[in-house]
Amino acid sequence: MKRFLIIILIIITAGLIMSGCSPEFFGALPGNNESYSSSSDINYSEGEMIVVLENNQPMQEISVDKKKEVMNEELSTQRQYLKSHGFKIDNILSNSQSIESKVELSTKIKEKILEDIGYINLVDYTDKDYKNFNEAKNEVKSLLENKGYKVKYIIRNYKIKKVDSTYSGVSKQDNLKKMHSDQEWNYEMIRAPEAWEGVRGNEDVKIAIVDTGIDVDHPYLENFVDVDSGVNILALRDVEDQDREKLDDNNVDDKDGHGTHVAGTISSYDKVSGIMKEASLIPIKVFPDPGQENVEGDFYDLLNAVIYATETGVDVINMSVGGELPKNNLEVDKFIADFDANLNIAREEGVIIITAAGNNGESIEGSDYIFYPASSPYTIAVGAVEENKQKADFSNDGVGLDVMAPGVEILSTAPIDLDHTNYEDLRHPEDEYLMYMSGTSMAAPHVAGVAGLMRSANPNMTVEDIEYMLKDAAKDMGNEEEYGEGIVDAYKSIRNRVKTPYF
Amino acid sequence: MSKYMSLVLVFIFLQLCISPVSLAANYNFTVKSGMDIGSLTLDLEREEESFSEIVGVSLTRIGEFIYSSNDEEVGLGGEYLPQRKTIKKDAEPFGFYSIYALAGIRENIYFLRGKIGYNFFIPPQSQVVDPGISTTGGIYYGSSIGCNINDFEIEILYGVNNATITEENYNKTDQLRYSRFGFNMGYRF
Repeated sequence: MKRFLIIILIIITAGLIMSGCSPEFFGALPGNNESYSSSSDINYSEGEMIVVLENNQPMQEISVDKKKEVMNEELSTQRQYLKSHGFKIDNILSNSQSIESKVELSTKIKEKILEDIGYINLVDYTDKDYKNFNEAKNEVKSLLENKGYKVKYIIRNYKIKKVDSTYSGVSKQDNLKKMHSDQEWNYEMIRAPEAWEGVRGNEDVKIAIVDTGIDVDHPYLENFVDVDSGVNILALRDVEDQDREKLDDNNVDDKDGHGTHVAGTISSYDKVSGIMKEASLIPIKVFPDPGQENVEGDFYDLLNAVIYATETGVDVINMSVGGELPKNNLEVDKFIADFDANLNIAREEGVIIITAAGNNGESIEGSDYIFYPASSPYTIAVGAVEENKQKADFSNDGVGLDVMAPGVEILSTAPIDLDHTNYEDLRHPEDEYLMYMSGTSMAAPHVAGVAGLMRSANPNMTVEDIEYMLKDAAKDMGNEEEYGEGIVDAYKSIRNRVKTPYF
Repeated sequence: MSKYMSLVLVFIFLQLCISPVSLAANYNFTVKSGMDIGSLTLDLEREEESFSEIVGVSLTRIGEFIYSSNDEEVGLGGEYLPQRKTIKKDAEPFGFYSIYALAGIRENIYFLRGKIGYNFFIPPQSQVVDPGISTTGGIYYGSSIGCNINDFEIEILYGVNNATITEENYNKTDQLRYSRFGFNMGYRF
């Protein structure tokens, strides 16, 4: 009997030790949620946290004319309360935020965000003297709970990155050869020229480019860029951030080159062409210019960008941006769920969201995953293929990958005033307004352009229809985790309007 | 096209009314309803591609004016085929309504009929709101066998409805064909 009890005790002890070692166990512990990151490369903004509070007041119980007043009052109360304790605070829905100067957030969108997500605050504690993030987090949490707020979660403000590749497998000489065929190989691969026989796009189709901005004076782009509707999201934050305060929310010019290249693939003219022969390109800047290293784009900015684009009434959002978030972390998972809810609000408003899958394909062997928000079910995640239709080595793959598009040595527009020295070597040797770039960032705008063509063929098409037709038309390449549904086909996607209601 | 077909049918109807058959015959009006099952085929013009899918069991409504003698009959009919859907997930409903002339032979209580006319097409909603797509109807034809028991009629029908979908952007016309077997029952007035 005694031996039997000893064995049972050993089993129980071993079980406790094993469960204690699992990430889920740590992840569930309050205060320890930031302990497990899947990668040491995951960066975050120092001194910042995203604090999401539950909305305790069901909006349907409030009369329509009072809703806005009630929401703004609540936002102001939260703001004043945390400010009185020495924190800087910004709320995406806040009336005082300068996003309102660009576009009045409608009560409808605010209400949806409040009901589906809650109050999303960015709290800056750089002026406070905390030893670490957890200390700051616990302080903010207890302050809010003492005041009667229900805290959904608090996470670090993780950074996002452009999804361009460091791929440099070609010389300028090779690129010269490409010049002779211009952009033929990539456009013919997705059958864009056949699509143009019937549908070429039009200026009523608005494409938001969430990126580094667009060179607004570019000779192959300027007629398509809607500067007035564009915004520098980095400048909108309503905290006393000296670096951000210097930024102009109307300045959407691109000194980096990434966003201009993406824009040119979607729609450009003269010596190059975009997938769309005509469109309205709306720059939504979430990355600073080179030289502004103190300011970096983060997930809070990205969340803001999606809300702004939705409110502006765009048809398509191209996000050749994204990032990695810690895995096995309950609070980060809640944030992802809320970000998804935000994307779904955009989707319900008719916005098609195209995202780049990420360029870590080579560096993380055996680790199949795609970036967030590409991994969200509410976006169309795009991977990159080479000219021979094989997946590019750098292109991330895994569950959630939707379609593929050309993404290696893509010729598109480049700002003449390029501050990014890394990109100088990529310029076309005979035309300084053009450059070659590689990455899933370059693949995504091919698909955004196709989605734009589809919208111009039929403005009444739903997001679900477009997503279904795009995937259905894609050329099957086999392994779904590596290629998704296959390589996108512009012509067939548009023609699918005849077939898909029945077959 | 539809206007032209309607005129042809009216002309056929007038011809029938004054024909020797009708002079010695009695007439009736039959209302029938039933179910059919069939398949839908789409031929894409440019791609030279065809798609085919089963259409689930659906409701049919028929009304027919028939002049009949002991061994022959002629008439005019109309058919309404609402809310057809292929078995594909999320398929959208479509439908037809047809007007046609019919002629047949009778043997005792049994009959064999041939039908030909024009059908209008009720396109799926997504194609209704698509400015780049227009649809038109097409030829309807079919044949049926059945019997009359007292004033009741039972009929097994094979019918084919046609429609054209025009993709205005590419100026391509694609053919849609719905063929079906139906079982209908009705009452003769």
